Amino acid sequence: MFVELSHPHGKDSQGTRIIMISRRNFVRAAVGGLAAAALPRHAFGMEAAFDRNARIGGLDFGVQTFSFNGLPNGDARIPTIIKCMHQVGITACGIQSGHVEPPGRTETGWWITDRNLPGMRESRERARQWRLTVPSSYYTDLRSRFEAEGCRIDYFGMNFNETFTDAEREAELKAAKALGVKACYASIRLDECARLVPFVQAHQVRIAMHNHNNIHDPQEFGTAESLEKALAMSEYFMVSLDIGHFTAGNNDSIAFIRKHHDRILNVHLRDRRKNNGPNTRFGEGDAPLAEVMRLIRDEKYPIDCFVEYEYGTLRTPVDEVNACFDYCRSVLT
Amino acid sequence: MRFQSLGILGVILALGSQSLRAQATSANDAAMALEPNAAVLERGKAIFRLNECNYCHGIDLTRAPRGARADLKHSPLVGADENGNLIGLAVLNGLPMSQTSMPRFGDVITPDQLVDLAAYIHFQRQAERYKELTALPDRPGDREEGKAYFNGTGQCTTCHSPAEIAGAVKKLAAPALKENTLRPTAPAAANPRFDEGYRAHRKMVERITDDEFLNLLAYLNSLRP
Ligand code: HEC
Ligand code: HEC
Repeated sequence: MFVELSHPHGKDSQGTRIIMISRRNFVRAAVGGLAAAALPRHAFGMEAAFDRNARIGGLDFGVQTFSFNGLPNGDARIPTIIKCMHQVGITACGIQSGHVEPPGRTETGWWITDRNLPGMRESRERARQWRLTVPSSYYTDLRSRFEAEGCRIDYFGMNFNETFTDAEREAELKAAKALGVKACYASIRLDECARLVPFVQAHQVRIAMHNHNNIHDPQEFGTAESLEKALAMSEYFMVSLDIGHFTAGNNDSIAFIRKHHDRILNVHLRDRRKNNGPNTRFGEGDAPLAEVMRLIRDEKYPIDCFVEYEYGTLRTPVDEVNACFDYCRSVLT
Repeated sequence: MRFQSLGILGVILALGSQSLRAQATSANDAAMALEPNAAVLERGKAIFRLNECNYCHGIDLTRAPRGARADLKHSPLVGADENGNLIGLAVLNGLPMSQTSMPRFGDVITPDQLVDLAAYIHFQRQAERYKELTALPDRPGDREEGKAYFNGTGQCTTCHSPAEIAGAVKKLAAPALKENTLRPTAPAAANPRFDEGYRAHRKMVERITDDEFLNLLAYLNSLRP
């Protein structure tokens, strides 16, 4: 399938310049990421995209596909995600199961509130059967589709919960292996972590706990303490620290990263105000985004930085994700 | 054009407003769009988007990505709200106990904005509920329950006598009755209470449940001679 990347006028609807980049060049550039340094900077007329693929200021960046909200359902979804990644010029993504599986998010009981819906038992069972019967080639093919377009899935988002059977827990860890990701990340509760311990040990798949900011329920990951409890359960449990949510829960991201840097696989970059305040544009909230990125850089922690854009806007997700990366670049260079 | 003074934001808002107006397909819908007025709705819609409500409550309330309890289209709290008095409780304080907490917008949304925001949410909910209610499959409702709703919860008798309603029902085929119950058309002879009635019907569209509506229709249809 051909992905249209260059806008005829080189401008988007807001009149901002967009990066002109042909697909072939992009793939070349992305695949040859390591050779980047050897190539002239303007070789493909795509300096911005190029930087992002290589590293910005020495850090490894990626994007959460969650950022591209309003994606179409069905066959068009994956190509749209890839197209958005091309438009942003970023190679690596963390993709959530809802973007990968045909059963919708609701059917899999992604949010607690979905799980009590009428008809949930039946739709949950259908989703389960899909998961238990899908061949692993589904996931290896998906991986190939991203790679063929010069992209990569680094993390697989799977919200394990009490509606999972053990067979399903195993199936999802195998899916993660087939996808070839570094780890799963999960918006999950502590009680579910306990159930997962034997499975992550057996399959040797890491799960990085993704925090939100419900600090009132000790089973939810809203505080350093709750994350530390999970880390103590298994060496396969890691952290995917969402800086924005951590800040909204009035936690100290810098202190947490310093203490647990060897157990943090990635940070989700997002800005929010304290006291359960709303998301903001990068740099306008209370999250120590710049400090976190500089800390990772200066201490050479092997922690990936994944942009998760989720603030209110009247512009397109691609425009906003671009703005997020521009911010990252500006504080690192 | 009235948006000019707003510059780029105005252009974006104007584009957005087309979709609001696009919902007005008949003269009757146009009447519906008169109140609350378009400028208020456009402001409300922008506030909804700029404060990321759509992430968790769906673009234009059409889906509820954060689960059933975030479904503002069916939430009783939103149905009972007047000008933001209840919506504001959730919005200004946030809901820290939910799995993915709803943020606290007290520092960023002003009281005036809240009123516009609520107007937009109500308008959108009415438009969406109208679509859902008129598309309900023809299941038979419970006539007695419908009568109880007419005389009780629905407060229909504050404006309509049973005799008057029976007269109206006689003139309307079942599909028209369904629509006119949800959205009265302006009567031929000026009715000084039309605006007030119109607003009451809009509230009804927001508050009535699917079952209540089917029961009500069963009752109204039973008044045919
Ligand atoms: C991060 C997600 C999120 C955002 C952003 C968000 N909400 Fe919510 N909201 C929720 C959830 C989840 C609930 C249901 C909470 C519960 O009771 O479990 C909710 C509940 C509500 C309720 C109460 C519904 C009821 O029946 O109790 C209202 C009203 C509401 N939200 C309005 C808004 C508005 C307006 C905005 C934007 C200013 C907004 N929300 C932004 C997640 C969000
Ligand atoms: C605040 C006053 C008010 C309330 C309350 C009210 N209505 Fe109405 N209703 C009106 C007005 C005004 C009209 C416009 C047509 C007219 O003047 O007859 C109307 C029209 C109607 C019509 C259409 C009549 C026709 O000839 O097309 C029906 C049916 C109806 N209402 C049923 C109800 C029901 C059922 C309820 C309660 C759930 C209700 N109304 C509550 C004021 C009210």
